Amino acid sequence: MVTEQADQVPLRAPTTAGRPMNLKLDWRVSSHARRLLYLALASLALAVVTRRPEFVALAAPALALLSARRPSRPQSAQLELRPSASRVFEGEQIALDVTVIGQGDHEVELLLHPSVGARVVRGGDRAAFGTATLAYELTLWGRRSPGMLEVALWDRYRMFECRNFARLPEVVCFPVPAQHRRAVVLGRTANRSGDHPARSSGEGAEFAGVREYVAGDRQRSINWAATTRRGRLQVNSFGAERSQDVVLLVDITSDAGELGSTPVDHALRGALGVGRTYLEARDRVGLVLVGGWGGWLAPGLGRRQLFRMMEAMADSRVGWAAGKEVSRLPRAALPPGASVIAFSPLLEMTFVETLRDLRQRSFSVIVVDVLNVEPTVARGKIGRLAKRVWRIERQALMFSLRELGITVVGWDGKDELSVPLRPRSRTVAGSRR
Amino acid sequence: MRPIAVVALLGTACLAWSAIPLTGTGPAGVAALLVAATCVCAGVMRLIGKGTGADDPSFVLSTWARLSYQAKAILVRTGWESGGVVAMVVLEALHRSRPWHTGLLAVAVLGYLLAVQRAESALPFGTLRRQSRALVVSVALVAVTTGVATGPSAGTGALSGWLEIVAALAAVTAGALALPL
Repeated sequence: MVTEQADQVPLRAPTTAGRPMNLKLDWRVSSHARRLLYLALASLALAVVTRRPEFVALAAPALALLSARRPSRPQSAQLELRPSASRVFEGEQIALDVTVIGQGDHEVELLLHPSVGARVVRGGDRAAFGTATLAYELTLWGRRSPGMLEVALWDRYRMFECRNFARLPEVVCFPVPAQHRRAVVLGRTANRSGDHPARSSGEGAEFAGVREYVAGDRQRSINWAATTRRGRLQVNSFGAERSQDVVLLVDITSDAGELGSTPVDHALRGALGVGRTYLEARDRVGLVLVGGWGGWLAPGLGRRQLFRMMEAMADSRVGWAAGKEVSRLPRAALPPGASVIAFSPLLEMTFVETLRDLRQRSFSVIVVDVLNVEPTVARGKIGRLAKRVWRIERQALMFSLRELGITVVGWDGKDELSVPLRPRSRTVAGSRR
Repeated sequence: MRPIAVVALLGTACLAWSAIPLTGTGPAGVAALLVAATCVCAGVMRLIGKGTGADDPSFVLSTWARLSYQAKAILVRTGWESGGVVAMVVLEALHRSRPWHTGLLAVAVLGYLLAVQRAESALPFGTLRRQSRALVVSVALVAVTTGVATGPSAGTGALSGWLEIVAALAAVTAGALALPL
């Protein structure tokens, strides 16, 4: 699935050349040397105490290694990091080219420590030379450093070591768009040519019916079979094709569940999947991130808009920020007649009020409920009762939204998003005989 | 996992070699054997746990999870192999004098420590070739000292006195060399 998305939206731009980083080398006695020292001391002490010379044999190898001549140790080295990509989708791998310069005769070990939302690829977290390629993948959307790189240097006999840590270059990770193949047409369509069949007749490709010829009709639209049957000139009529404004409302005010499959994760993935489908159908798509440090994007067209949406999503943070109510958004963000598709776990009542407000302002609203977890309650009767009350409250909330004319569909983030939205898809419009 | 398996194998071999025969060492021998076995096992577990990483305890809610995190942290931070090696040497000292046996133990313990070092890092085993000269000298020293110890006058007279002085000087030198100066 990931590869498919990557093929559709190629984002693997090569990064700029990494600037060398200066590493200050602080040499210390290695744990190997410490073990040899303990062995030597214990053996020599026993040789003296027990007056048994064979224990010098136990100390001899350790003493030989500890007293071996070592070349001078460098005090600094250069580290260069070159990630294969700076923008990826969730689950995509990044190869990190690491070069250590100025280590001289010393051995270098590289070890990757991934942060939350990153994972090392099997076998790609360690390397033993000054120039190596490590591999990791990002499992969670966002803009952050994927972790730390540990650079360990050893002298020839591994008696002295120094360890340095370097933060990996920041990577922007976009949510993987959910699978969505069918555009959902809601409400009014704008008077612009597009891909959605409209109810009015026009010059689209969708066959609408057969009617009697009137002056001005094109000759090529004459239906000769119907003309022969009826004895009068009949022409084929077609439905018009229009585009619309769609505003994706993503609720990032509250989150719950396991990292990587929380409602906010699913909301962003779903919104991106739907947004991409609409943009491919030449619709104008806008984005409003409600809560957090999100913002809004005025409806726009094309791949550039998709990139803008992805960047906005990657920069968003989960949480509630005052003053981000949707009713205060300018007209450009919510144009009149726009179809609003909201992705929300419906946990934050302020967001629910926002939906009601939008419906009362005559926006067509469809809500995708992305809540896939239930609250954890204590065992026993009280816990079961609490969960039951919570479920009843959810049902009451859904009912009140439906009563207002808001469509609510559930999506757990696993199935294709087209499945819950299919019953809401508009059928082909046109006159029939 | 192969380097860790080598460590486990060599650790067990060293332990068994230093413990044989099991009789005649008394309670001190049993205690040293227990300490050495615990340290070898804990050392292997440390190497296994080192690669798996540890979660931040601030996000762990359950007491059991917190305790397991603390136990893992102690396991990873402690130098078990040093304790194991010292316990093996003590165990060997509790037996009667047997120079060739001690000489072989010296070689085995050196192999064990090199294997531990190898398992701790990603450095390939081939990089040990750079130490080959020092390792050959080490084994030669083991052979020479074992040969001297096998002689009938070992541990007596002037040789023993000189040995004490050499041993004390070597201990001081080893300590000085290991300091990062």
